[in-house]
Amino acid sequence: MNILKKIQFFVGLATLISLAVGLWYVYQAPADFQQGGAVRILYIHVPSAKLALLSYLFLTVASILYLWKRWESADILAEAAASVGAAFTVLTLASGSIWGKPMWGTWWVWDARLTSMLVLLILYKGLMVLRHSLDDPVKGARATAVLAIIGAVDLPIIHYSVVWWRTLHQPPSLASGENAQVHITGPLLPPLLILSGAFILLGLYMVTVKARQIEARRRLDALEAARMHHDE
Amino acid sequence: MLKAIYRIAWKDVAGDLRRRATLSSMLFFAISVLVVFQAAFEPDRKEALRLLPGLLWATSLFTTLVGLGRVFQAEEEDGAFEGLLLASVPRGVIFFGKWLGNLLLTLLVEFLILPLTMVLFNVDAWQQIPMILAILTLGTLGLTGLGTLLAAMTRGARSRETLLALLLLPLTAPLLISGVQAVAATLVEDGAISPWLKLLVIFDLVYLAITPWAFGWLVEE
Amino acid sequence: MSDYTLYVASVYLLALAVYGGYTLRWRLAYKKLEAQLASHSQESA
Repeated sequence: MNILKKIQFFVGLATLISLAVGLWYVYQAPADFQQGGAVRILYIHVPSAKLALLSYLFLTVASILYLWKRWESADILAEAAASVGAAFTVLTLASGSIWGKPMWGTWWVWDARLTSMLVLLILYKGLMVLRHSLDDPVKGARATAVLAIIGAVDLPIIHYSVVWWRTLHQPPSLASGENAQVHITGPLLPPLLILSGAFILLGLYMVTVKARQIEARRRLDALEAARMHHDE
Repeated sequence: MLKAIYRIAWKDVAGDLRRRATLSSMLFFAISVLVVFQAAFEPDRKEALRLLPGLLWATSLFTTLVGLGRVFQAEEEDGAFEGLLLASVPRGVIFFGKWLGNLLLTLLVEFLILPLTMVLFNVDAWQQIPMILAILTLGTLGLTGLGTLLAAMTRGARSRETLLALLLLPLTAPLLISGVQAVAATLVEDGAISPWLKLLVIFDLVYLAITPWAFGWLVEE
Repeated sequence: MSDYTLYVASVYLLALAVYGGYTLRWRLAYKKLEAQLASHSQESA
């Protein structure tokens, strides 16, 4: 576990430095001529959304590895990624709503991206609940891994069905109209790129922190199970 | 192999028809859902026609949950699931057998709900019944496929009924969207139905292709 | 700064609370578990 501790330290340091640099650029960046100061919300929102999806990708890969190779470490990483991904998804939804209120005039629009994000959040929650409602930890791990793969198949279908639904059935809403397409260019781009990188590091750091907690929890559970067995 | 699928399915369906346990609870659950919708929305005839697709699919979806909670119940009570797994049939066959049994019961309930909904909500769309039944069947293929897998996944879980709803409902969003739009298209003149049927077929194919494998990974020792 | 300051500030504070909060919580939980593990191994020694 010493290697993980070292990795964690350096990733944590890199995260702090890149976040500081990114936030400095955000502070320096000019306001957008259309959106004004509200564009600064996107510097948090867009990287969060990327990480919410990236965490799911990570979770899927870890789940496939666990089912295939039976590595417990893959399962620990999958469990950690679910918690971290849920945190990023919550913030994506919240920051999107806060951005939408002044820009679109509503907190919520049922467009493809928002709907998929909401489903993603429920999926993360389902993965967490499923794991802990099965008494046998191995069964829980396997069921969670299978659900993660099913979800990975479902998310694109959900996204495209909502896109289809919106284009065929409803008149283009604010969210899918031209004016809502967010184009970030020129001097607004560097803070976004730096913060995206910083958030990838942040995600990695959070996964290592969570993974170490889970690993310690499992060691303690095993120890207690062994002791109970010994006492009998 | 087909025979094994049929025998597993028939054991469930025949056993249930004899006891009428699942079937009647699904049916009465569906009726109470319809009563709730009526009390909540109080639609007049025109509104009822607009609400019909959503009513049908929402009722079907909730009712499916009741049926799914019991797919593996008989085996759980007498511990026969492990015995079923020990039998010399591929996992996929066991899955399809369980799926078929659940599919037949669910379809039966849906076929009863449809005329009932039309009567209770005063909707005059009797000519469209065959088409609506076809759409319901198409959607239910994938719905029960995914549902049977999730029922196997939550086997032995604490508060599994709630868990099943939490897992199934978000994953069926594409099904609900396309099913509702397809039924709605049959109720208006020159409604565009084919894109939604395509989406339903895609959903079915994806889920019926992936779930037998997923079931194998789930129960593998 | 325009009148969006409140919206922008709330997002940055929320990000700090969610990301910082969870990380801190998981670290503290880890420390607590390590302490429990240490006391276990002392008992058995």
